Amino acid sequence: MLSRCDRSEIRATLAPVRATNVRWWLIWMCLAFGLLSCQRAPTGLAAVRARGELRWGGDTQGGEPYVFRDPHNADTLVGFEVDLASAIARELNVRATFVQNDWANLVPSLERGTFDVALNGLEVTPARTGRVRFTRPYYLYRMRLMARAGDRRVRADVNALRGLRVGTLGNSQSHDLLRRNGIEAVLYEGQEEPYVDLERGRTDAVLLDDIIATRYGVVKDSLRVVGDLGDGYYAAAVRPGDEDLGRAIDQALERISRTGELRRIMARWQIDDPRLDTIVRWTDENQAQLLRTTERATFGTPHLALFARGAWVTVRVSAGAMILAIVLGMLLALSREYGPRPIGVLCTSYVEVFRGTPVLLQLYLFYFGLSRYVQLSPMTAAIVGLGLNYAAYEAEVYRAGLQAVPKGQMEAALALGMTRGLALRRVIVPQAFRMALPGVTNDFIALLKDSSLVSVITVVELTKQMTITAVDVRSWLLPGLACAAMYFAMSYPLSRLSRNLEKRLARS
Amino acid sequence: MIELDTVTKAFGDRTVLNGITATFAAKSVVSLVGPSGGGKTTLLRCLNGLESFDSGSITISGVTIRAGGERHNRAMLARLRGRVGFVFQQWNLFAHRTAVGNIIEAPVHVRGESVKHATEHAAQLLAKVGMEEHGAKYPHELSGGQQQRVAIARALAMKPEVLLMDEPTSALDPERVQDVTELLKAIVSEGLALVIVSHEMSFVRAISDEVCVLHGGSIVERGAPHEVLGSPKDPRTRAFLGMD
Repeated sequence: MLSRCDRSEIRATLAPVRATNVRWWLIWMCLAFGLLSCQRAPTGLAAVRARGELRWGGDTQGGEPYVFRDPHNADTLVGFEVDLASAIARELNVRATFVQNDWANLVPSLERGTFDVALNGLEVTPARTGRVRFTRPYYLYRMRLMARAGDRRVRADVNALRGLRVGTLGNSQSHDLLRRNGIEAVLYEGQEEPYVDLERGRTDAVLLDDIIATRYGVVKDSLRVVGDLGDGYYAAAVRPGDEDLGRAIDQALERISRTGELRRIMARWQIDDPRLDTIVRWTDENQAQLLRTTERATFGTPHLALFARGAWVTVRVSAGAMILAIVLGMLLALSREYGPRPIGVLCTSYVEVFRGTPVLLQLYLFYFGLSRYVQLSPMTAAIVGLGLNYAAYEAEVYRAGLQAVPKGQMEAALALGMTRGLALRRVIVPQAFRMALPGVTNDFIALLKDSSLVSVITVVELTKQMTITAVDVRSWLLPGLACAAMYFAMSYPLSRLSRNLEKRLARS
Repeated sequence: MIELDTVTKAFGDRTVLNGITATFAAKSVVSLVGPSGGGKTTLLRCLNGLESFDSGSITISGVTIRAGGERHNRAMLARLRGRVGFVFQQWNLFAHRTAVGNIIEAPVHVRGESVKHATEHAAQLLAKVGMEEHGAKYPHELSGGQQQRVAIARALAMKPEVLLMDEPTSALDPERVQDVTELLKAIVSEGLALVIVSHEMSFVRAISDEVCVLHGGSIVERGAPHEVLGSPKDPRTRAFLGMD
């Protein structure tokens, strides 16, 4: 198709009149065809066979024992799902290729066609059943509740958890269970952190799949298993349109189960359980029963109320962090410009270090890294963490402002008998601040958006609320737009303010 | 009275003030003239501690500052600056304050006067310098001459005994020079001493009681304006005035 385009283009350039128009038209046509042909790529079993590979999606961040990097050979992926994918691919006479994908977005990526099958601890939930075509399950897990060894308040009873803070992974079945029962869920993005925070007393319990609990929770002496709050199934998922691929994987799984290979794989990863017998003897009836309840949540007013709550958290985090950043930034800038040399050097180092490293990393270190020594609440850690980071940027903005105040202003103040401190306070800082103000407002807008990063330390602000909702309602479009509108409503007044300030400054 | 006792200052290898010893009478107008680099402005800045010096001492109205700069003279500098006002060549008005705001800043925050009292005094000073109409204006809304008048009023608000002025005519239109000459004469008549650095000889002649010629960091000649400017004795003064 491309060569045909090229030839047409040559013809187009030969026609002197309207050549540009024709060329534009051709470029647009080529683009449109390209997009169409992308969407019309063959799918389903035929495509997998034709390609000779089964692309399966998962997230190595999920860690042991699902799919993770071999500690002895970083180029190799290992895990029970790696073994399972290989076995399925072998049954289909193709090879298995792993595609890395953020766990929370496995379903949307599957729908987009990033891979053929999602195979990564995907729990069969009513919400997902309405959206993907699940294969027969390959694992039966339990939702395991853990608490600190000495904490007797936590019992294996959903009702007993009310009023307690329970850690889990966002959009997991455990998260669903907690939400349905009105229990405060603290959301993490990794498996290790919930148990670390539980040890430190930031949460009262952790509810997660038994596989995760065994690897990350049970190994900690200070924690105990309280009990299980129900069970569920992991299954592979394909697009609803790829029924033939789904059936082929079902058949492959059935063979793998019947020959005992499934249990052997699980045994190799020490997660075999006599209860898996149910899965080995899985019937169509079981499958129909499992997929019986589907749920189609739609985006609506209740979600907007949740968004408003998230936006309020965003405002609190941003405003708190900005106040800290403004005060600390001014101190840093003044110390650099007017302080004794050693302190100036110290402040310069502060600015360079905080500006030169990712704020995400700083938040991690601040919240999880220092948790052994300081125990900050997620909200405090978010405000202080972002504030400390932005102080470095503010310091630079103020320094530029301070340097823009003419030297004569300080001399005039001193000549009138002011002390240096008084001169700074009354004459220099007010002028510097005025010059810095547009920059400060800009930074506040940036901070407003950067505040979405604090979800990594379990603060549920606007963006996090949106991603949770998007997975719930199985659409990113409406929640995404609503969320964008809320951010815009918060940032636009600020950017207007910034522009007005700049204008006023330019006048004087 | 201003007393200088062997005041020396060097910027690196370059001696700017070469052991100056001199006494200037109170309530008189002294002009410092001389070629560029002769040490005039440095000397002026030393007189209220904006510039430190390397040795010697300066005594103004009984307050003495010594070599070593701010660190050694903190208490003295505060007292000295209460008695010695400074009007800068570029006036250096506080850009974020109105004319009145500029004038009351130091009385309120250094002297502890009430805002009401300081504002009343500011109005009188503005009237004195002919700026009563412009009290609410910001510096960028004023012409050069108007800014200078506010700067003079600002310095006077601290009720100094000595007023230091760096090149008061350099940024003015020639026709404004006469105005400022008259204003300064009026101020002097109320008992203030003036020390002026200037290149404008007709202005110096018109305003000064005494003229000091600085050359290479030393006072090479001093006396009444008609003597020093009319029939200078020192060859360096003659060369500076273009008489040879």
